[in-house]
Amino acid sequence: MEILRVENLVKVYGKGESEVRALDGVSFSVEQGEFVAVIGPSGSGKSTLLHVVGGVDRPTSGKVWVNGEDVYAQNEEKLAIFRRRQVGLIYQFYNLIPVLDVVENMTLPVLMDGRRVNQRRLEELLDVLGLKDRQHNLPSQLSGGQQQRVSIGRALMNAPTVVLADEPTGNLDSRNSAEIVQLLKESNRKYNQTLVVITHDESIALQADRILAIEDGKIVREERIREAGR
Amino acid sequence: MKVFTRYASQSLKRSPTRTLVTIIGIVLSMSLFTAVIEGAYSGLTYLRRAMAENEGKYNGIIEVHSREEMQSLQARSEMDASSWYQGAGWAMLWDNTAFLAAVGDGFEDMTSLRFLQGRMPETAEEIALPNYGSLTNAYPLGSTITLAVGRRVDNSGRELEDHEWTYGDSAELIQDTVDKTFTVTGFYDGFAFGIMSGVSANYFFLVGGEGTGYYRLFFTLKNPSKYDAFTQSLPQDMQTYSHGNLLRLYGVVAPGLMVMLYGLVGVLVFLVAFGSIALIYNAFSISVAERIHQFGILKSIGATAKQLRFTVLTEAAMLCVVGIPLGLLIGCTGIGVTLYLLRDTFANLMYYSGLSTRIGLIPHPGLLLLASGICLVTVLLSAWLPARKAVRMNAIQAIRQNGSARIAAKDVKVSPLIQKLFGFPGLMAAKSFRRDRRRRRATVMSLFLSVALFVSAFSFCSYLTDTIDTMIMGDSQSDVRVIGRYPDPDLPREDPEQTFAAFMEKDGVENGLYFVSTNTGNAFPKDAYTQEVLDAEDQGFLYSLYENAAGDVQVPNLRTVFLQDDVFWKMCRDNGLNPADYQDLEHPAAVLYNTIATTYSDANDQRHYGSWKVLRDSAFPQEVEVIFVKDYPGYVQYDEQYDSATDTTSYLYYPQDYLDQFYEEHEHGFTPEDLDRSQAMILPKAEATTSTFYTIRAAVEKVPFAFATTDPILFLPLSRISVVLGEERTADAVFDYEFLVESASAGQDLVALADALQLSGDYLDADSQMPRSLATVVRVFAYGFIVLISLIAAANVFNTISTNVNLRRREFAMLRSVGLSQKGFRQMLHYECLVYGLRGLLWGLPAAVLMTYVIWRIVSRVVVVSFYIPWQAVVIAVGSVFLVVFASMAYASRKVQHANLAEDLRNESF
Repeated sequence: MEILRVENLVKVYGKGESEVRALDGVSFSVEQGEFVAVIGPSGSGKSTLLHVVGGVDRPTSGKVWVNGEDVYAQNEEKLAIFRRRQVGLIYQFYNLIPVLDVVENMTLPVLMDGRRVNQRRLEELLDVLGLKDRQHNLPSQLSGGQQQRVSIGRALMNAPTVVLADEPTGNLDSRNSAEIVQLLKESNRKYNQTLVVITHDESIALQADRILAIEDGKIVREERIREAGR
Repeated sequence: MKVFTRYASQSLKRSPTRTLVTIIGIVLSMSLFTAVIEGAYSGLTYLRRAMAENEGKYNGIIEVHSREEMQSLQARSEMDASSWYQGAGWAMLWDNTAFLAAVGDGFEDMTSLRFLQGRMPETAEEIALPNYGSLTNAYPLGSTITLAVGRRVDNSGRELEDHEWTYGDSAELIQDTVDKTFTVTGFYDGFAFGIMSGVSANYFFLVGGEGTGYYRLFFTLKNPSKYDAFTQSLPQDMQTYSHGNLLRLYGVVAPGLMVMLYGLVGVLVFLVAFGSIALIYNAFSISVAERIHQFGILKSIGATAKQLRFTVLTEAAMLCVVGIPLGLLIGCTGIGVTLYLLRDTFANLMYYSGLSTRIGLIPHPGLLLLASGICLVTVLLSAWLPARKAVRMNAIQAIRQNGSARIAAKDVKVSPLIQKLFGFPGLMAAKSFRRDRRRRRATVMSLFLSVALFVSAFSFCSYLTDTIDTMIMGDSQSDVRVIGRYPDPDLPREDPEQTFAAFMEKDGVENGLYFVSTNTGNAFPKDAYTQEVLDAEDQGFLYSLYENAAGDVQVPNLRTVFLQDDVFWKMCRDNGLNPADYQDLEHPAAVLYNTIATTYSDANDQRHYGSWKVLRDSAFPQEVEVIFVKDYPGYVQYDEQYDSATDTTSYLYYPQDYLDQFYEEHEHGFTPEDLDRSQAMILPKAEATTSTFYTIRAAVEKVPFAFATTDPILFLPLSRISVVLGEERTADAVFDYEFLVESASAGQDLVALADALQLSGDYLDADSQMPRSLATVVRVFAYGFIVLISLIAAANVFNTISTNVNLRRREFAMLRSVGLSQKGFRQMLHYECLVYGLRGLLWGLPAAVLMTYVIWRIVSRVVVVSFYIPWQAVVIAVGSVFLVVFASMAYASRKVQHANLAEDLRNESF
């Protein structure tokens, strides 16, 4: 089932001489449960694409459908809720709120919603992510790897429609990187979680189901590695 | 170092808001420093000049016996200027002793002597006389006067010293006289007897030419504050007199004044320095913390700690280059304009009136430099302290840091209740508030200090002006008083309405009223009085009550005023009473101004000012019987007799002849008890008197301008006068018209009109100006100071909060990207504002109440006044705190709210 569709996305920054076309007509779609990797050189528009898909940055033109809904037809309020419930965002740096502890950071979207935390899911995630002993630590007391695990926990907590990750391992050593990728893959398999990961690391890209290559704001290549779910 | 200078200026440009706010802070501080220092100096100089104008500018007087001695004194290096007079003989004029003196150059300048007519005598044949009517009449300008000039001796022939008085039987004679004729060249004034003239004569005449006796040298020193050292260096036996009143203003004689002045200036400078250090320190610690990452990079490529400190100090210096001159200008202008606008008010404060000296700004380069120096040091110090720590940090550590301080888990623990009540925004607000202890403390402290300072200053002014108001409460505030015509067979009675209208029509009349006043000295039962007023009378603080034979207590000073109807109704309304209650024609109703106020000495002989309520609340309504004693031809009613058994009063009428004779026989006075009762016709009350009745319904606190507020007054509407006083007395009533005018010329106009209408009018000197002026001055300066200090605090708060918000832009972007709505974001910031505001008030308000209590204690040593908290100040303080906090947050978040999320997320410089 098509869960994400992007049509003719254009994103332009600046005006006149300093105009930058970060996205120049991007279109693709993603099936539910797919693990898609987006690769490309720096400045190619990868991050911009992620932000537009995640409802964080409004495109200059083009549309984004998630779960059949036109993301940018919504008002600001609904967009915020969309980000909360439908999207899980993971960044390379600075994912966590410094004043909140591990549990609070993980349950951030739920807290914002004002809903009750699904304790069972929380326990499970803490277990899987190996954060049980560090539940009440602040981000400043965690290593880089541990911080990223908390971000993943946050991204998965609400079981969003799609998880978007921007170079999630860029800041980590090889052992931590492998672990993070492993966790992401597990969530993809176990929960049938749709995953779009931006990476420059080919070894990670090859673990995905499909690779999209972006250059100068356009998709230049698409490669299917394997069938989704395997 | 050039690159570091450039780095400094660039850093300032990159955060324009904070740079601007810091400059504003410096400008405010510098203005205050300048204003305080220059204000004190200008004020002191004004006092010195006024004193010099009134009493002469000499610092001291030395008695010198020879010209050589005088010249050697004049040659002393400490001497600035001098003049002298020399005795030129004694004479007698109309049984009075006259001392003649020759004067040196510049005598008028050195003393307060002023010529009202003519000029100083120049030759030995010329004389100037004091401006007494007797002399100006007898010896007008240009006429001649012949005096027998000689030596003054006592009975035994011994020559008297110039300053010696003679007493009782020992006479003074002028001997060895030579007749001299002088031409009168002038009349002078302002040369007081006593110390200045130093002679015990009835007249002091000035002559030209040479003298023959001792000199008195009047001098000023180059440095008057070294007066004591100078006089101590003179020979022991040399007689000197110091101009105490003037020297006091230089710290000599009685150092108290100068010490107090320096102390006050010192305290104010300290307060300003404190406020500005807080602001600048905060601004720079923020600035440094933000750039710690950059400092790290600089260090890693080879910059030394010293160079980094230099760059921060350079930034501070650059800000000073802009801020200090601007502050100097604003400070001087501000205090200059204030002094100018208040110049007449200050003139009223002076003990002596009619001086031409006026207060004004006197810029003193040395003092301005001092103020600049203080400000510069303050700023540099405040910038240096945060820089010191930062530049010593390890380079790698510094690079790693992104500007936010390390947070400990326990710091950000908040009660789970917060989340339940205020949701996620509340949780975030509470945690964010707790994260940076030092910055948070700085902001809260700024708020707390401002609130405490503001309310304290308000209390101070409030209590002080209450005190002053109480003191001037006594006097009527009228500018012009016109008394109507007494019953005169030759002139018709004036129509008060028409007369009043004629006066009110004149230009420059601000307000007016008229009334009839009689002294009725009513008595009330003792239990109608308040315990406090009875106690005060018992303790001897008051002499206002009199207990009569019947056990009632009388207020002899109580007068009954029949007040112009309109004014009476207005007074009712102003006091919350319904005029309708006072309009009954047959049973008139009155109001009572129910206070006695006076100064008194307590058991320890300390002077106090107090006011007491006279009648209890339960005494109202109070029936008043106005008793009129009937006339019996040939008799005079002179005494009353009270019989306690029957509780009746009888009236004693003595025959006119008997009284006349008794008076002649007892020239030195007598009391009613001395009279022979058997001579009296004793009539019971019913036969001796008629009565009218009225009711005192209520007490009033506010009375119209024309009435003194030191004694109780009964007010009735004028239209009821005939009902209460009877037709005959009404016909004899004299009207009193009182007016407030806008200018002296308007006052003169009214007096002229009164004259024209054949009434008696008076332009009253506004004696109550002085305390009112004092109140004005205190208010202006106290409020001015407080407002400016509060602005500094507000700038500090603004800086801290807006930076706080800025620093967390990335965090905010992150929250928004994960799904925090605009509304949630705004709520979060609003809650933070609330927390800051409440915290500031939590500390500030109790401190303010404490300060107010302290002020009350100090004030109540002088004046009896009950403790109160000036609620308006509290309300304003609370309002301002929230205003500043919310405004700062709103300004800062404006930028954040509309920022591009994606950009903020990426931006590493936050």
